[in-house]
Amino acid sequence: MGRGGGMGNPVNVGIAVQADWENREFISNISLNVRRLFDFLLRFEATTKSKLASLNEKLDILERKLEVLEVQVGSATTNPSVFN
Amino acid sequence: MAIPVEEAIAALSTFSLEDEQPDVQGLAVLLSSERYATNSPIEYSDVAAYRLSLGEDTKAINQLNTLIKEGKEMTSLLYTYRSCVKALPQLPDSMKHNQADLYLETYQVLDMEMSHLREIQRWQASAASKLAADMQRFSRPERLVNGPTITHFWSMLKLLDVLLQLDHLKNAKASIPNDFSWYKRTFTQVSTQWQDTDTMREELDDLQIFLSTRWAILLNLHAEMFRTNTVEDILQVLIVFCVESLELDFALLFPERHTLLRVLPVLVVLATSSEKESESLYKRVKINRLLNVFKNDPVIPAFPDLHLSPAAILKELSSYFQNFSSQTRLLALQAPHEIQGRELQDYQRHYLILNHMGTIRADHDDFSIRFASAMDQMIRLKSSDGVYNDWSRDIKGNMYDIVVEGFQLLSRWTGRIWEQCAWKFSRPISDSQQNSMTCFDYEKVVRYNYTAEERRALLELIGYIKSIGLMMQHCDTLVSEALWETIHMEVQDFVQDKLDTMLRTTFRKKKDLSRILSDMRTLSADWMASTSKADPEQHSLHQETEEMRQNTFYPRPVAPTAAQIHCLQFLICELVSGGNLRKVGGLFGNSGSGIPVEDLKQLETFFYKLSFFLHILDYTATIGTLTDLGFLWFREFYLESSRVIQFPIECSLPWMLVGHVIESEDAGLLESILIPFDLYNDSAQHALTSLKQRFLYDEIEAEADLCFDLLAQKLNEIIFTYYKSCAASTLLDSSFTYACDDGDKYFVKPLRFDAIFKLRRVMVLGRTIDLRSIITQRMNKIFRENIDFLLERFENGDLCGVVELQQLLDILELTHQSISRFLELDSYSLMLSEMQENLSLVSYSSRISSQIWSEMQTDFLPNFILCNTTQRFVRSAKGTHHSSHRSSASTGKPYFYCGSHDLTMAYQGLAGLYRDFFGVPHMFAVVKLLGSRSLPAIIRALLDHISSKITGLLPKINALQEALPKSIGLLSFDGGIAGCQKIVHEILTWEAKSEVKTEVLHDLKEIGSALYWMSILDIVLRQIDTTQFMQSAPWLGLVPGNDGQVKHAYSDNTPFTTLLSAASNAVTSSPTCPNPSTFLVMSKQAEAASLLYKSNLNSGSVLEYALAFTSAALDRHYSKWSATPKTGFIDITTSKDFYRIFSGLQYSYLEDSINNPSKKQEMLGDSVAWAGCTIMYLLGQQQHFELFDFSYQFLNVAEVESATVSHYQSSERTKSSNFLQGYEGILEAMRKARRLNNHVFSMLRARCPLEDKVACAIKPSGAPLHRMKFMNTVSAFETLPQRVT
Repeated sequence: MGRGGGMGNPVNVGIAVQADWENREFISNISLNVRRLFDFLLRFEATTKSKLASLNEKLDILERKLEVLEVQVGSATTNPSVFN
Repeated sequence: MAIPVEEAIAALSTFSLEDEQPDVQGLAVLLSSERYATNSPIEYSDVAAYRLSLGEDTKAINQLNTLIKEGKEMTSLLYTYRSCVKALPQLPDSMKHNQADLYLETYQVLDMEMSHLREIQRWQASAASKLAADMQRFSRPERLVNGPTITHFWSMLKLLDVLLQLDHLKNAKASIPNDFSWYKRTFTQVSTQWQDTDTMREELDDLQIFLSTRWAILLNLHAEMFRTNTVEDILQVLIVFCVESLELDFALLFPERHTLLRVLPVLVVLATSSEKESESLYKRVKINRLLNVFKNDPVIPAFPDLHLSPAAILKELSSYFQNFSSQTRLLALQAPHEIQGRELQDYQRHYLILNHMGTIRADHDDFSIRFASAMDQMIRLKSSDGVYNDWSRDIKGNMYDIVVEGFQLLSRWTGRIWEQCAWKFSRPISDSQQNSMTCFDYEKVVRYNYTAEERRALLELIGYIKSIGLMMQHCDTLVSEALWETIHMEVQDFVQDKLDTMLRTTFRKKKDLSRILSDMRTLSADWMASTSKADPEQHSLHQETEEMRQNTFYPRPVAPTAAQIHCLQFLICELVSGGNLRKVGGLFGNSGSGIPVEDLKQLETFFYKLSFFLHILDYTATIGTLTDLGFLWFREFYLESSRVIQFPIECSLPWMLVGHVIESEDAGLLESILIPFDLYNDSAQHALTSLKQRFLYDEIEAEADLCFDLLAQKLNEIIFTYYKSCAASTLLDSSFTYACDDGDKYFVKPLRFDAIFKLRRVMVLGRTIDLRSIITQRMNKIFRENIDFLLERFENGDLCGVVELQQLLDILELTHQSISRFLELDSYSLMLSEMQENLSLVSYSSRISSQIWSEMQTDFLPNFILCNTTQRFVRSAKGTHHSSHRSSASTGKPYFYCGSHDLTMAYQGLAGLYRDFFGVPHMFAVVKLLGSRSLPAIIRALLDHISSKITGLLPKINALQEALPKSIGLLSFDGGIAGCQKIVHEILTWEAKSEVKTEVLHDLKEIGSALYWMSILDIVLRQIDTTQFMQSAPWLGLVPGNDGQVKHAYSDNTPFTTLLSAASNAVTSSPTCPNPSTFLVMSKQAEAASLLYKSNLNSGSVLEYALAFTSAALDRHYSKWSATPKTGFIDITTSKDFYRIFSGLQYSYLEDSINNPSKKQEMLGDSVAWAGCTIMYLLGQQQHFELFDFSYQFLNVAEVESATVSHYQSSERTKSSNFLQGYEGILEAMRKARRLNNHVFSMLRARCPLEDKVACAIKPSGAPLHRMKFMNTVSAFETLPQRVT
C-alpha cells in the first residue's frame, strides 16, 4: 500500500466512530418510532375507512327504506277518499 | 411530564384496529421509498471522516451518479417519445395562403421536442467523455489515487448501461428521425426569412448524423475511451467483476443482474477492439465463461416492451467495430429468433413460468408458513420482558435469514416475469398460428402469445409476489430493529472477533496487510456496545483472553452507514488484491496474495454479505422495487410501430389476466381477481414518478377505469349466476336428480365469494373504492332487471305460463335469500312490488294481475275449453290463432333463467309439462303470485264479466225464443225414436238463426268457464286456508268441539297472548330488566295478531259468492227467462222458459257433433253445460229441465222402446240392435250430457242451496206463491255489494 492509504490517526477516528454509533442509536430509535407512528396512522385510516363504509351501507339501506315508505304514505295521502 | 417515546408508541397498539377486509391486493401505499443505504443520502461525504484517502474516488462516484440520474431521465424521455408529425394538421385548400404561418407554428412545436433531442446529444457526448476520463484516471498502473472502489465499479457499469439503453432506444424508435426530417423541412421553409442561419444549420446536420447513425453513442464512447488507449485494464477488471458476480449470483437482485447482463456484451466488444487486448482478456476470463453467460440468457429485458439480446448486439456491433469482427466464437452465438429444435425447447422450459409453477408454489407455501411463524416469535419476544439472551438472538437471526430469503424469492420471481416477457417479445407467434385475421404486432407478442395455462401461471405468480410483498411490508416496523441488530452483530462479530483472530495468526508478519485489517476494525467496530452491559473493563482492550471475549457483545439496533459498508468493501478488496487490479483469476481467486484459503473464504462471505446488507437496510424500498410489476402494461415501442394511438383493452396484459379469471371461473383464482389492478397501480406509479409523463398516466387511468367497470359488471354476473344456479339446483326435486343418469350436471361447483364481499376499500390508482357497495348496487339492479324480464316474458305468453313464472320467481327469491346472507340487498318483496308497479298502498292491481285478467278476457275465456273429468282447460283447436301474433319472447341472458344451461333446460322441460293446459297447479301459481291483495280485483272483474255476458245474452235468447212454437208438449212415445227426432226437428226451427245459436253457445261457454275457474280457485283457496288454519289453530286455542264445530278453548285470550303476556310480566317484574316497555309492546302486538288471525278463520267460499252474484244478476232478467204462469200453476207447455232454449241448444249441439265429426274443432267443451245448468238452477228451473228436456225425453223414449222391443222379441236380440241402429251415437252423447248435467246440479245443490227459490207456498186463496223468502235463511244475496251501474 504505497499509495496514500491508511488512516491518518486511527485513535481519533476510533473515538469518533464510537461516538457516531451512539448518536446513531438515538437517531434510529427516533426515526423508527416516527415510522411506527405513521404506520399506525396508515392502518388507522384503513380501518376507519372500512368502518365508515359499513356505516354508509347501513345508512344507505335506511335511506332507501325511508324512500319507499314515503312513497307509500304519499300514495295514501294524495287520495284520502279511499279511506273514508 | 414527558412520556417516553416507546411508551407512547406502545400505547398506540392498544387501539383496536380490526379490519375484516382480507388481503387480496398488493401494496397500495408505501410508507417510504427512500433509499438510504444503497444510495448514500449525503453522497458519501462522510467517507472522508474515515481518512482512507478516498476523496478522489468519492468525487468520481458522485459525478457518475449524477450522470446516471440525468441519463435515466433522458431514457424515459426517449422511451415515451411519441411522434408529433402524426398530430400535425393538414391545411385545407381554402387556407393555402396561410401555409407560411402553419410552417412557423409547426416549427415552433417541433423545435421544443427537437431541443430535447439536442440535449440528449449533448449529454451523451459529455457523459461519454466523463466516463472515459474517469476510467483512464483510475486505470493507470501506477495509481496515484485510491480506488476504484466497488461502489465506483457499479456506478461505471450503471452509467454504461444507461448509455447502452439510450442507444438501443434511439435505434428502435423510428418516429424520431421521422419527426426530425419534418422538422428540418419546416426549418428550411421558415429560415428563408432569417439571417445568419449557418450555425443552426450546422447544428441540425450534426443532430441528423447523430440520430441516423446506429449505435452512435457507443461509437462515440469508444472513440472517447481509446483516445489515449489506456482503459483496457479497467475494462477487463469490469468484465471480470461482471462475470464473477453473475456466476456467483448471490447478492444480486434482479435489476442489478439485468444491468450486468446488458452491459457485459458491450464491455466485451469495447475490450476486444484489438488483437492484443482480446488475448489478454481471455487470459483473465476464459472465453467459455463468457459464452456460458451469454448462452444462459439469450434475451435480456431492457424496457417493458423492448428486449436486448447479447448475440444480436455482438453481431450488430461487429460491423461497427472492425477489430471485434474477428471474434468468430462470440459471433456464432444464436439470436433468440434463430434458436430452433431442442435448444428452443430447453429455453422454453427455462423461460416459461408455467414450467416452474410447482417449485414456485411449494416455495411460496413453505416461505409464508415460516415467515408467519418467525413473525409470531418476534411478537412473543416483544411482549416478553425484552432481556437479551441467546433465545432472543436466535429469533432475530432467524427473522433476518427469512427476510433475506424473502428478498431472494421475490427477486427471482419478479426477474422470471421480466424474462418471460422478454422471451415472449422475442418470439411472437408465427402467422400460421394465428387464425388468418390481421392483428397488431403487439397482439402477436402478447394477446395471442400466452396460452390459458400461461395466463393462469402468470396470475398466480403475480399473486404470490404481491402477497409476500404485502406480508413483508406489513411487519416493516416490527422487524427493523431485529434486522439492524442482526446486521450490527454480524459486522461486529467479524471486525471484533474474526479479524482479531486473523490479526493474531495470518497477518502477524505482514505489516501492510495488518494495517488494513486494523483500519477495518477502527472504522466500524462498536466497542461500547459490548461493554455497556457486560464488564466494561475486560472488553475494551485488545488483549483479553479468548474465552472471555467470545460472543458476549450486546448488539445495538443500529445499522452501519452506507459509507461504512463502502469503506469495508474497499478495504477487503485492497486486502485480497493487494492493490493490484491486474491480478489474474478474479477478486477472491487466491493467487499471489498469500492469504490462506479459510481466511479468504471468510473475507469473501463477509464481502458479499455486506452488499446484501444494503438491500435489507432499504427494506421498504427494496420490497417496492421487487414487487413492482408495472412494466407489464407498457407498450410504447409497439404503439409506435403499429401506428396507433392506443391498443384496445383486450390487448392489455392486466385486462387479459382479469379476463382469464372471469372466463375460467376457477374457484382458486377468484380471489386474485383484483391482483391485475395492482399492475395498473404499479404502472401508474411508474408513469408518474420515473417516466414523469402525465399523458401515460391519463391513459392508464382511463384503461383502469374501464377495466374496473367491466370487472364490476362481470363479477356481478358471475356471482348472480352462481347463486341462481345454486338456488335452481336446490329447488330441483332431489329424488329426481338422484335417479337421473346424468344428475351430476345439476349440481353446482362450489365457489366462494366471501373475500370479495368483504372488500370495502380497494385501492385503484390512489382512489379508495368500496367494491362491496358497488356490487350491492348492481345486484339490486340486476334483481330488478330479472323480475322485469320474467314479467315481460309472462306478458308475451299465455296464461299457462303462470306456473313457469312462479317457478322462476321462486328461484329468484331463493337466490335473493342466499345473496342476502352476504350483502345488504333491498328486500325481495319490495323489489317485486316495485317491478309489479303496485308499491302504492291504495293500488290493488299489479302488472301480473292486470296481465292475468287481460289474458283471461282476450284469450282464455274465448279460446280455452273445459274438460270436466280432468279439471283442466285446454286450448281449442280454433283458438290458436291468437298466440301467433304475440311478439316472440326476447331471449334474455342465461342468468335471467336458472344460471347454468343444464339447469335452464331442466326447468324448461319441467315448465313444458304445464304449458298446454290450465288447471289446479296453475291456480296455485296464480294465487301465490297475486296474493290476497290483488286476487279480489280479479274475482270482481270476472264476476262483472259474467254479469255483462248474461245481459248480452238477453236479446239473443229472445230471438231464439221467438222462433219456438208457443207451446211445446211432451214427446210422444208413439213414433219411437225416429218419431221423436222428427218432432224435435219440427219444434226447433232455428235454421235461419244458426249464427245466433253459435253465439249463444259461445257466450254460455264463457260464462261456464268463468264459473268453473272460480270453482278451481275455490278448491285452491280452501286448501291454502286449511293449511293456514292447521298452523294457527294451536296458537289461537281452537279445538274441535263435540258437534264437529270449532270451539274456542279459552274465552277471551289465546295461548299465544297468554304466553307472551306471561313472559313480559315475568321480565318486567324482574328488577334487572333494562327496558320493560319493549316487552309490553310485544304482548300488545300478540293480542293484535291473534285478533287478526281469528277474524281470518271463517273466510267465505269464492264459489258460493260467485254463484250468489250470478243469481243476483239473473234475477234482473227473471221475468224474461221464466214466464210466470198465468194460471198460477206450472205451465208445462210454455216455451218461454230458459230451459227450453237450453234444451234445444243442447239437443242440436249433440246432434251436430254426431252428424258432423269434421266440425269437431268447434267443440265447446263442458263449460256450456256448466253455464246452462247453473243458470237454470239459479232460475229455479232445474226440475223443469229434468222433466222436459228433449234429450232426456229422447232417452226415456229409447229406453221404453228398447224395453218393449226386448219384451216382445226377447228371443231376437239382433232385431233390437237393428232397431236402435243409427242412434247409438246420439244416445251415448245424450247420456253423457245427462251425467254431466247431473254432476253440475249436484254440485250446485251442495254449494248453493236454494230453498227460498224453489219453495212454493199456496196462498189460502189457492193461488201458489212462487219464490217466497224465509227470513231465517242466511242468504248470500243480502251480503252482496251492489254495483253502481
